[in-house]
Amino acid sequence: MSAAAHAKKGIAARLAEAAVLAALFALMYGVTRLFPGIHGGIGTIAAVGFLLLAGTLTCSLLEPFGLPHLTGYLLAGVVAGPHLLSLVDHQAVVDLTPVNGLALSLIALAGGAELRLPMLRQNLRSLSWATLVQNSLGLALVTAVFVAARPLVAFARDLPTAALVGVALLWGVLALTRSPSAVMGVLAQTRASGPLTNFTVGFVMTSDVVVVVVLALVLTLVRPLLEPGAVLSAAAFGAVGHELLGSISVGTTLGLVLVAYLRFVGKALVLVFIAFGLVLTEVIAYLRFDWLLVFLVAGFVVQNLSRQGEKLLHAIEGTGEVVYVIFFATAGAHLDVPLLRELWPVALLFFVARALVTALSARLSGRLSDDPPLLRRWGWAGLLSQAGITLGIAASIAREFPSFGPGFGALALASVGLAELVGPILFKVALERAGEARGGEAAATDPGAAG
Amino acid sequence: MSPLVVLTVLLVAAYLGTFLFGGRLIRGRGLASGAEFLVLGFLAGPEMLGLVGPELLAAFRPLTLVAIGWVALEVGLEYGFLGQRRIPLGHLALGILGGLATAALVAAALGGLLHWLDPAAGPFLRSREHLLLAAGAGIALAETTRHVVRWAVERHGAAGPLTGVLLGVTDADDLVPLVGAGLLFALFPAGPAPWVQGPGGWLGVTAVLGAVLGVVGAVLLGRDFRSNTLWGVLFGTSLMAVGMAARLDLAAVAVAFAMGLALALTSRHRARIREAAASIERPVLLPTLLIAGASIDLSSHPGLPLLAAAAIGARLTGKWLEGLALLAGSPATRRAGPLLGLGLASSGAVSVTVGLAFALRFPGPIGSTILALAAAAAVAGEFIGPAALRASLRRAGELPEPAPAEAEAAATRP
Repeated sequence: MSAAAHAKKGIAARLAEAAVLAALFALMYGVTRLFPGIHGGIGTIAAVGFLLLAGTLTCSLLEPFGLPHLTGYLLAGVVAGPHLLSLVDHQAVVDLTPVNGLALSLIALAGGAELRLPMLRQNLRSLSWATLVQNSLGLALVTAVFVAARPLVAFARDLPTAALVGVALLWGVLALTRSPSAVMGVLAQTRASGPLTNFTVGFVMTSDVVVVVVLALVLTLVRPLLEPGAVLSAAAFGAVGHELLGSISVGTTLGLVLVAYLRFVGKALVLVFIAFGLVLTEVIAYLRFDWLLVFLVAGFVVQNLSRQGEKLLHAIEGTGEVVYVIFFATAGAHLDVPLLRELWPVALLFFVARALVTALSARLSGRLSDDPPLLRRWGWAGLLSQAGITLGIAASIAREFPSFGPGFGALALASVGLAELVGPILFKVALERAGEARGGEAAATDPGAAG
Repeated sequence: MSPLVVLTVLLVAAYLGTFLFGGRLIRGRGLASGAEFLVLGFLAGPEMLGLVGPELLAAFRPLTLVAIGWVALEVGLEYGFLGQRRIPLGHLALGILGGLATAALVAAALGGLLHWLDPAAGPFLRSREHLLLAAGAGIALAETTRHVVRWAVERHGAAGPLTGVLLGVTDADDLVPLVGAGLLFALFPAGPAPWVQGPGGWLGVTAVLGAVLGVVGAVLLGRDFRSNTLWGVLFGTSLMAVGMAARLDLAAVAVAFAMGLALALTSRHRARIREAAASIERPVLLPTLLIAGASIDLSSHPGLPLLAAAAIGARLTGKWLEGLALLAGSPATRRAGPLLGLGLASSGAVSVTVGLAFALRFPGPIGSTILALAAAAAVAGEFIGPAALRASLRRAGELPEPAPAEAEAAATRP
């Protein structure tokens, strides 16, 4: 909620919200403890409802501290999740995967629609330099940090040097991933606009493509280092080519279909989104395309090849905060708190290293592209969040290399947990310092509705 | 059929529902009871084409629960009101008493028949199964769908005092199946709880849970209306209501109904909330009816045809008597003639929803039989109700006589 909306809320309202939150926790706690044995997805229903309400209330209660809504959603999920109070159990978190897919597809669609060609053209120089420097320097320096931190990383301690470099390179790729959902979530709340917003959206949305390519390159290079007997093979590039070109083609087609629908029908858009998010994502995944990229491209096509872009964005905004609450509260519930407690020193080291490397790269690329001071100072802040994409890549690496996979996956989980918690806060602070945050809730408030 | 295909079909049904409800061009297409979707679901289900199997229906159980909860929530939000206008207390009482009378008649008829079919089960309605089946079917068949009168107004331009009375009565009788389900489910709780005593206690928990979540919704929606908060709060509270009810083995429809009532009573944004909830009534309802149709099990009871005949006969009798009571109690209805009650024979969304709630809560012969009876009554009612209603309204002078061409078209249309 915006400062305006926030200012309207008195202490009584806050106390009422806190009481309601406590009552909801107590109600859920009592019922889940009294009747624990629920199967077949029934437990998930109350879990989603609870996360929606608890997330909304927590973010509202955290507002006076200037924290982003996402942090409230995450915290609600962490506290209610299977690792703390277990009001939302493991099964519910797993059952929510399709709903998360739906949320992420909407976020990607909105992200693509935020990429306006004039804005990209205007920022082309900055984005090009930033992409080059962030990815090359980021990969090199984070890899080096990982190698240097070898004694602290249990699963890497006994690896031979070649294998260690291979694992470190894979860790370096993880460091290049960003979180479009976190960026879109903070922007949805702050309704920010300006150079920093444009740069961050442009960079984060296009980084998905870059990461897919870099991952394929690194996988090709490190396989001989990690698997004795494996030879250098460019086969991975064929798969990446198929994935990228296929995703762009499907995304373009989907975008054109959406344009036609928006132009000639334009109704029941939420149902259309649900169909896309629940059904189409499954089909796209079955075809081995990157559905995040598909939806990004579709949003981009609608925005830039038609006049329906604003209509699309308006329709997605119409889903309110439901999408973000579900996505981030579930992400919070997913956060493995005991693991984070165990691995936090190493995870913190890598998080700080990644943050420093990102900030350094932003300075350098800003200088090279002659960015305005604002971008040089704050350009890095929106690039720290990590979430689903990072975890997805970490999981696929863990599957690919079972010898160190479990440890790698666990460390990635812990590291992403920190980035998930700290990243959105930094980005919101940066937007506020840059003077680009406006506060959206005031705009969404309808004063004429009273009574 | 894979779950993905079924989901797609349900989404298409929901999509169609949006247009059937909101599109001017095709407004009013389809039947008031939604029986055509029920039949479509039945045709696709395990009993007929087998396109949807029992495993898939089980996989969609959570979604089905959410959908029936939403239907009940919407009824709760609108209960006691026609648009912005309150339904007069007299009409409310008539509707509730009429629903109760029909429920009692149906339950008695089924109880007697069950006793005759299976005398070994013990004295009349003493066995748990007989009581649950007879009473469950009674309450499921108690209502008259609100849409039958609304569509007479929207489609045929009916207007007048009788129409007003019927609109109120058909809205009011929804209370009987929804609260009745709460009561019957409370007889069979999930397990012992230290602080809940007997069925009355569980019925209290049903009401309090719904009321608390309704008030929570009202508090969260606050003083100033924020459209981006509305859906989160509505979904959050309704999902919690349905999920907790399912966890406690209480009637999700009763909890959601209580929640809707409490929310409408305590929130200053009730008009906006009703408008928002109503906007997705049909998109939720049509897939629900498809699932209900697919869930019908004709082998649920060996005497199902007899039970269906008895239930429908008792329901028609109950509605006819309700019509007579209306004639006696309300001057506005006098000109409608003695067959007015048959105009109330259409059941629909609420009836099938409650039937489906029983089928989900009591899987096996009892739940399946109640659902089958609710579906049979909805289909049978469609053959009698709308035509009888139009005839009564015409007799009362509240619906113009159709022109010959229109009459011919009307004859081909339900």
